[in-house]
Amino acid sequence: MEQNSDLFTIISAALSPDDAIQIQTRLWELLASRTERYTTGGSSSVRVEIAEELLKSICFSIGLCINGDVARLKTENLQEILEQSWRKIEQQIKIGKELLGQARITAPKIENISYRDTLIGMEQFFKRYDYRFFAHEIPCDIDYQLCLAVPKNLLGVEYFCEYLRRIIIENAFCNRFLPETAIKLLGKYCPDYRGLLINLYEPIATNAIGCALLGLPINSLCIPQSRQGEAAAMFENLSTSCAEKKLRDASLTVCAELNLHPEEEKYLCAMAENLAPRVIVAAGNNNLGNVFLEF
Amino acid sequence: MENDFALTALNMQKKQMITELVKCNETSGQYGLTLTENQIGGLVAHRFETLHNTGRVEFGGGILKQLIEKFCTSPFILQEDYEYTLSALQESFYYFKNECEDNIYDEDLIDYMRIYFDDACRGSIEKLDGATLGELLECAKKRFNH
Repeated sequence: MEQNSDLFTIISAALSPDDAIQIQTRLWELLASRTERYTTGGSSSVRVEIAEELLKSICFSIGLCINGDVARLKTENLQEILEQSWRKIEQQIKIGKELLGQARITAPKIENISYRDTLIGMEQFFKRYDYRFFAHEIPCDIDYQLCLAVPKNLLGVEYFCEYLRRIIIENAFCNRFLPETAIKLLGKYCPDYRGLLINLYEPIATNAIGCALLGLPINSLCIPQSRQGEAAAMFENLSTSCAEKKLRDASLTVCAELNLHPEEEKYLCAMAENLAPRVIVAAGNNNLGNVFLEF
Repeated sequence: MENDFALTALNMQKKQMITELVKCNETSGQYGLTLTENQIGGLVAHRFETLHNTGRVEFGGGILKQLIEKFCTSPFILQEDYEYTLSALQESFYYFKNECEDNIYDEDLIDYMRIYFDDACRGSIEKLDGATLGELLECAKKRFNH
């Protein structure tokens, strides 16, 4: 049976072999007891897949509670730690509800089916989330892709909340521009921006950064064809790290001009750095107009 | 490290199972059915093999204790093939658990197997082995309606 790599890895790395085996044995006993609860005592065995999921849930929950303090596993009762983790998860669920509400209220006035359906569908999470047995799962459809994806090591309600925090940041940025302007840009970026699985924030942020690079009004979001050559020249023969710095500096200009909150600023700077490889390649191929759009 | 842990968990389960099966002889012995140390060792090994083959995981001593308690009173089980019969019952049990997608409690499933073994199979373990879940349940239904 596959063991949850994160918690077991942490245990093996942080503790002596004897301590690690002792804790793993106690985790196994906890798994036995949770499996019995899951089957309501009516079954001595379960399918391997079920046991693996139950173990993943235990490891996720315990990991959430101890927050890296592996020494706690040596001295504390694992069932009690698990129950403490449920209290934390319940708090996170409450936060998740607030974040979902906030995401809906701040949604930009731009039509996009996957964005809309995702925010509607995420409500199912609260009905389906069985944190006592499957705390690591995310039982709802999340189709809309963020500009900066949630790290894969986040699971369950942690993933859910972080996804919403990022959507709220993206919403806030998009809302700093007139909907008509953003819609014109998106129409140029992707004629079927309403129906296709695109991220709304990315083209808006990219053009905002492009405007800052060229000293153009950021609110306009528009980068004329005539200025493309000038933009390309900025990245000629530039290394990736230098290109990242240039784009990051431009993003800081956007942050200052739009008076972004710290979370928005951090997000935009990370996005700017990720843009560097695309910009370098496009500049080299003389089609930076596919990155910084005119509309 | 992971191998040490798996081995420890396995050894714990083996010990528990051996202890339980030795104790079962007290009950089954009343019906002329007992297991030797070697036979117990064989059944323990077979349990893990069967679990692996059926893609299942089991904690504690396993299902054999309950199978023994339910089947040792069957007039069709003889000492000469007691170990073989228990092995086959164990295999059938895990097979049926998968077939019913764990929707039937162990206790109930063992009851249905016992009814089918006595009524339809007349003690033929091979016939039980070849039965479908549907046939098992149908036979049990007939018995309960009778």
